[in-house]
Amino acid sequence: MRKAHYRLLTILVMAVLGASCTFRPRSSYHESYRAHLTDFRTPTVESILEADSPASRPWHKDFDQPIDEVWRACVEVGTQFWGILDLAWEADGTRRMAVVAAGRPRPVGRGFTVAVDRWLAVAVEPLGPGSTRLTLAWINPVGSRVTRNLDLALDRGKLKRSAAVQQFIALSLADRFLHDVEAALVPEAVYLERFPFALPRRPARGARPAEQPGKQPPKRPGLIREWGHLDSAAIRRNHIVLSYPELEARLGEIVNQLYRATGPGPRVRNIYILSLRNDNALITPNGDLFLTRGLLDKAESIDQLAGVIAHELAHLYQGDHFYRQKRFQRTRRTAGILGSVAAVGGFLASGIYEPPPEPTHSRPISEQLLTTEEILTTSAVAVVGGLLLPQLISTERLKMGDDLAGEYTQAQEMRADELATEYLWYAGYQHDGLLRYLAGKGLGSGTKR
Amino acid sequence: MASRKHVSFSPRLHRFVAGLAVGSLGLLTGGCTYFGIKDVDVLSEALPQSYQLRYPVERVWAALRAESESGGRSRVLAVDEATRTLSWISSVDRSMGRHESLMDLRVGRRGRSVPAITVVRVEAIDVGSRIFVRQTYFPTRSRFGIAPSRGTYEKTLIQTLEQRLRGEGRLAR
Repeated sequence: MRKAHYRLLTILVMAVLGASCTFRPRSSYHESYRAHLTDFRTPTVESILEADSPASRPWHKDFDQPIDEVWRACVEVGTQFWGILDLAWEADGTRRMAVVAAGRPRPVGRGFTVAVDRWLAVAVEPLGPGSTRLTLAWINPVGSRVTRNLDLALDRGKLKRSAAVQQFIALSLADRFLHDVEAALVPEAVYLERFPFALPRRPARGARPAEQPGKQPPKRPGLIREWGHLDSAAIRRNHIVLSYPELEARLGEIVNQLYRATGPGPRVRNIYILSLRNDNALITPNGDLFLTRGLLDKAESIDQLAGVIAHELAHLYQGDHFYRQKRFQRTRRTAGILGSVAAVGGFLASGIYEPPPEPTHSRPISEQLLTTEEILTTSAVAVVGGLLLPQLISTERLKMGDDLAGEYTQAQEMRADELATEYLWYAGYQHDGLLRYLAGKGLGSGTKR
Repeated sequence: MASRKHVSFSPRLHRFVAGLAVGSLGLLTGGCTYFGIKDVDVLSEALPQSYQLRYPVERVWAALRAESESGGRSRVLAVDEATRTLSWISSVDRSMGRHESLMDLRVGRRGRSVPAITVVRVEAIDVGSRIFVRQTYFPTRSRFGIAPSRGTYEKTLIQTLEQRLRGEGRLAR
């Protein structure tokens, strides 16, 4: 056996070893999950309140609503979190809840995408006839103790993160819960009053003249739609969807009015309102339209709202998802080819496939094998490869929910703005509705949102 | 002060290390990009936000309570009658039907059970009941981590509830 064969064999063995001891971060609470939470002791309201400090934000928040409404909002939000561990009513009227909060915080980096889960203890207590305080604390997996400070020892032996990142995770998850409860408490009437009607003051001018199709239609439109299903599902599982049936019906009327301008084409399937505070809208390839609560707060008129919806409809009608998908597939193919070329070139350069040496006198076996440095280097590279590969794959998979609805090109955005203006005019809305909305945001036309 | 031992690497070793690094990174880049996302991972059907049943909310809630208590490998975590919310934890594996998460199509493979928390909330609507179902998988060691169900289990649960409610209706007649 030649020396190159020994090297190749060593690399293969090390790669298998590296893959078998793959780094897979696990939850700090995994033992409780496996034991079906039999070791879980529900924290009392007193312990939750003791863990809170009045000066600290965002560990508690006061609401000007009766406790029943706040409790209902908590349950509505908790249902859409990652699991409810406990719901209980105390004799004095206070209520407590324990939920699994999880997220993939950006500071950790997209390379490590395993969700970080923390058990969140919630206490809801009446302050007065129409006032309620909501208090949060964390539940430590060791002994189900309630704490305000996340014990960094939670992750001992697993993924090490800095204290600042840990604290940021805790604060962002707590802040998100409080914000979602606050959003769920906003009555639908507020938005119905802000947008009292859906139809424009002027009648529709008819359908906009159809353009000659200048782009090639997708070969597999069904696949694009299925990607849209996944995209929509990922968005709705990662964010809280608010239930505003009348407002959704009113937004549906706007969409129907815009259909008069767009003519035949793909249709909007569902309209969802996300509790996110940033103002944004997006549409997935399957026709699910998402508007954020921040957008509803920001829009000042029905024309501005129609402008944003028209912009998203333009993306759908232009097939921008398809071209993004096509570009993504091309990138994937190119990366595969380039990666393979780099791999083959690298291994060739490393001397794995070196030509057989000239026949010489026989040498001892110890000189034919790899040196210690070579074995160590090979092992290190193989193990690191085994660690990183699953993480990178999971990153790619998790990005599925963001890829299609994420970024468009500047040209696509500008074209969508132009089309939206035309749609508005033909549908009878004020044609500058989108521009006025963007001006309110301090953005110009065509700016990426 | 301890003296540092000077270690010299041969140019041949340099070439070997650099080649291995480039080759491994190329494999990682190409492999992850190519195999990370597959078209089979998409959803063939839309995942509903909620499900509607034409039965009254009281009957649906009762059927749900009975269903949650009938599972031998599950444990009820929380019940709130006021908001009609129920939560339970169970261990799932491949023998218990299809369990698929948004990230992983093979939850609980190789006979390994995976803890899963299911949360269900029932609301009354004009024409019956609306049910919100969320199942989340908590695998101990998984490259995909904690992940929500992609709807396979939810549909099974709704079908089971419908069968139970239909059965109760026949018995009542």
